[in-house]
Amino acid sequence: MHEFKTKQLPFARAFLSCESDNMLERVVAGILASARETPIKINKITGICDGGVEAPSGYFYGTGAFCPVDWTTEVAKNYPDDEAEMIEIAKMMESLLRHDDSQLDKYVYTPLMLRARREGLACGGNWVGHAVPNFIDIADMGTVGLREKIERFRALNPGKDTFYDACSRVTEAYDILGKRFTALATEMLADESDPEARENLQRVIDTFDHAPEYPCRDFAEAVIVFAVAFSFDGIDSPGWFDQYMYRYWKNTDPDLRMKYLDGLWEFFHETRAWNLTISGSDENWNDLTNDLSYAILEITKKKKYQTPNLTMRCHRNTPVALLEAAYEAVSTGCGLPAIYNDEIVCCALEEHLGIPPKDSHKYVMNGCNQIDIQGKSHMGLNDGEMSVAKAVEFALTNGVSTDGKEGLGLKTGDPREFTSFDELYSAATKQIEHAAAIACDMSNACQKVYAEYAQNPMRSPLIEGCLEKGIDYKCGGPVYNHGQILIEGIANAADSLAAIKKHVFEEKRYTMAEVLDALEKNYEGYDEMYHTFKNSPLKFGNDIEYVDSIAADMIDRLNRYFLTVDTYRGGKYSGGCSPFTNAPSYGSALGALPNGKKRGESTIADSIGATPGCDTNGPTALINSCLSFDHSLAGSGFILNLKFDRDIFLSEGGKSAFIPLVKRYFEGGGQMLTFTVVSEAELRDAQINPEAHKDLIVRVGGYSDYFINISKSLQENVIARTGIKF
Amino acid sequence: MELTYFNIQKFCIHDGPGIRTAVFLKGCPLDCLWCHNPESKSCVPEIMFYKHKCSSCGRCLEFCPARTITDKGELIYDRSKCELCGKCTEKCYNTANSLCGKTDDLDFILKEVKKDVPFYKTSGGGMTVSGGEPAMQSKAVIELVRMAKEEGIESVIETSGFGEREFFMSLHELGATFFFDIKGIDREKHKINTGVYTDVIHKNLDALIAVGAKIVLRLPMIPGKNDSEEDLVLLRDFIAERKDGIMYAEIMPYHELGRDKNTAVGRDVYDPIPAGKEFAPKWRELLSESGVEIRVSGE
Repeated sequence: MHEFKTKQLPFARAFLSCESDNMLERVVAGILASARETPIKINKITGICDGGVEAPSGYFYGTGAFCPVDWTTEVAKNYPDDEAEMIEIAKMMESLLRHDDSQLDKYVYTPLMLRARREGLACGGNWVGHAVPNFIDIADMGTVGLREKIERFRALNPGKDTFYDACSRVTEAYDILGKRFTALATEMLADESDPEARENLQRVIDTFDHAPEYPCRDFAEAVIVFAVAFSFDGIDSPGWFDQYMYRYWKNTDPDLRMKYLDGLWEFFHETRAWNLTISGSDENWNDLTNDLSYAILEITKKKKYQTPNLTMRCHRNTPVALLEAAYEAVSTGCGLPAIYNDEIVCCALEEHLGIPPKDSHKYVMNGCNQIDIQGKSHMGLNDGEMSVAKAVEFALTNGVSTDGKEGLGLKTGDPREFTSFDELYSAATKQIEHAAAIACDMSNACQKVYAEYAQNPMRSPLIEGCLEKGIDYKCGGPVYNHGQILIEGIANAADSLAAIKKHVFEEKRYTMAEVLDALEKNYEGYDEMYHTFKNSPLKFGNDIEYVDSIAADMIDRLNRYFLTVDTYRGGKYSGGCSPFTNAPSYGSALGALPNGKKRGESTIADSIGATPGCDTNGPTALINSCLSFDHSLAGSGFILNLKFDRDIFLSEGGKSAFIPLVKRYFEGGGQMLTFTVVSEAELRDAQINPEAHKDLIVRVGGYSDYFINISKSLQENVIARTGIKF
Repeated sequence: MELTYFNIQKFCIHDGPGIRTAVFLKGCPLDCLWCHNPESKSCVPEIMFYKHKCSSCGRCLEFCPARTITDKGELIYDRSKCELCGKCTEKCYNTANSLCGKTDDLDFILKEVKKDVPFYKTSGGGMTVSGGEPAMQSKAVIELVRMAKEEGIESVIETSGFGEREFFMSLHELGATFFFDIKGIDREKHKINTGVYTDVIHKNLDALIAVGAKIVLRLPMIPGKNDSEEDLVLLRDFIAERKDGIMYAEIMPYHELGRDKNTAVGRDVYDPIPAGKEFAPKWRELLSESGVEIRVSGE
């Protein structure tokens, strides 16, 4: 595998090489121009939009802090000895970001890892990853305060000047941004006659008169500075917004603060911000709901935008009024908020990852649904994925891939020789653990690359632990560095195992040889068996212990296994389940399975719930099935999505059932609930007339998206999920 | 003790307070023109055959004496020759057949109902015994309600009111709530619409009111059948006379969802009836003059 001499990334060097403000200005412009391929769009709040016109073009993804190749080419000129290598590193990082298989094996993956990825068994590390830095630090302490902090820790950690220099340079970049906004606002003010626009521009000038060097004075200023920092980082997850913003919110005039909250939501929508968390509990279970929490639910309801992905934390002392407000928001069909159970999440973090209560109660969500600790961790991101359904398939093929090749799956024995279900189950659990190990290996291989070549001086000063230790965000600097692997295809795997247990080992309706032959032939010539399997009522999600117990044992074992594996960053892995856009690709990668799935069909389990269309007993049965799992073992987010027919959800009965459903799920040990409220007719019509349904939002496991934006196969998956009617 | 039922439905949110599990029993002494659960009428199990799902593949001919394929390739199911073996429900690729109705021990039924106890606790829900007419299997229903009560599960009984007085009194003593149908007041019209006179029904209702039972009236409102000006006035006055003994009354506007099931269980499909939902506000307005709170189902 390729090894580089240079152990410094182009990105940090871009800052380090800025010997003059003029050069720093160019770096700032470069980031502005390339972050999400858009300039900083805080125009909804300020009337101003900052574009970095002088930067070279290229691909840049803010959450990962990478240089585009073009831009690196510019920066690398300052490092003649390493010039070629820096450009090569930039190319490597791009290949990682773009999931470019042809490059990945050259730089990162072993041949086995590449096969695991291509065959839909596992993948790892090829997502840049989300985080929730304390952007608000810039509003709270100002860059002057931040630089003081940097210097304080520099003195305590001698020999780490390069790291502290880069961090310090980043804080100066914020000052430059402030000056740019002042200049733009002053220029625009001269030509502006509209009184409201003038007021907005004047506020920008007043804000940057002291910010970002010095702390903000009210909610409007804090929002402006927050939005600038948030954009500059590349639009990720705002985090625990109603908590860190409250001190500004409560001291600001109600009309003014609503205006800026509204503007901020437009900004979040336009830039597709990720996950924002509200409410929750402190370590003594005191409720932390405040009037900003309610204002955010209200604005979510009013705007009906699918972003930011809203997380609402609940616990034993959550006020009923907050849940009622959540119901109102969910009723609009926007899929928000997703509701999380502090009792289980904090328990998962404390008992299995050793995070003390004072921090476990600071958990937030980032990205789709990954658990993170506000401003303290590098863990809440999708480090990897694995398919338990594919692993079960390997147990049935004795480790042979669809193309006849061996080596990716384990040789767990020829199932035709198994005399009991236990033998098959034991083979399946071995295959699952093997796949999990590959996913972790892949993730660690990528984490090593990030640590060596993609250090992130933008995030390091804003995430606790980095400055304190003098270690970068990507290299184990944060207080917590755990990892997360998402599990795909739980119900497919459980339904398949249950079908064999019942029909082969108990009722002896078919022999294993017949089943394997049928699967190999994609059920061709095996119509009777296909329909028996497909129509079998023994499907996960119907409160049937026979199959639920298989699912629970399989997944609890897997989650326990993850907790034994170390991350390269310096923590433990934990499992979770929040399939998102790529879920159907795991379905397509599967061969025929004994749950009545044919090769080529992309149908795959909806989060921890049933295989789409297989839960026919309503939400209480689905909830009971899902409570078979030990949710406290799943430290990275374990989601149940409940889909409701709109008429039912909006009726008096639906309204009065909402809180009891949530309560029962959480009291029974459930971790997270999301809701899709939609009618099938509406979804079908949207497929035919997408133009008429531009605002139709559905929950896609981990997050909400506009229905017309998702792929046809994912649309079918969403429709097949059983709408709860009667 | 056993009950013959056709469905145990979870997450019922319109059949009594909270989240409930409804046990739908087989057998009904009434024969309402508009019946929306026609599969409940017969006391014994029957095959529901959904023609639109049948592909006429003919696989069922191998084992079923009740089936033939016509010259045109259409599959005919002759109910009179059916032995209710149920093989068609297992062997059909298209799930075009289902066995409607089975008989199980009360312990088995209660076990299913108990699965959702945590939901009853968070929502104030419980068990609903519906039908068909629960009074048709009176002893077993009383026993089931008694067993549920021992488990702390409250019961709602959905009834046409047509049954033995003793049945209703026993359930009242067990603390059950009655969702009591009033399908019309005019005696003769009621006979035409439902096959029975109103006498027994009204007497049972008044007997329950006399002992202070918990009663919700349910008013199936069927356009053209029981919603004339005269019907409504009679109904309003009937309710008004009993207003102190009734918790509230709920209008059940006619809907078409049950109509196709008639074909599936081999009954004649009645003439189309317009949906009742749009008339509901008018009905509600007039009936509210009774002094009893009038709700509309599904709202």
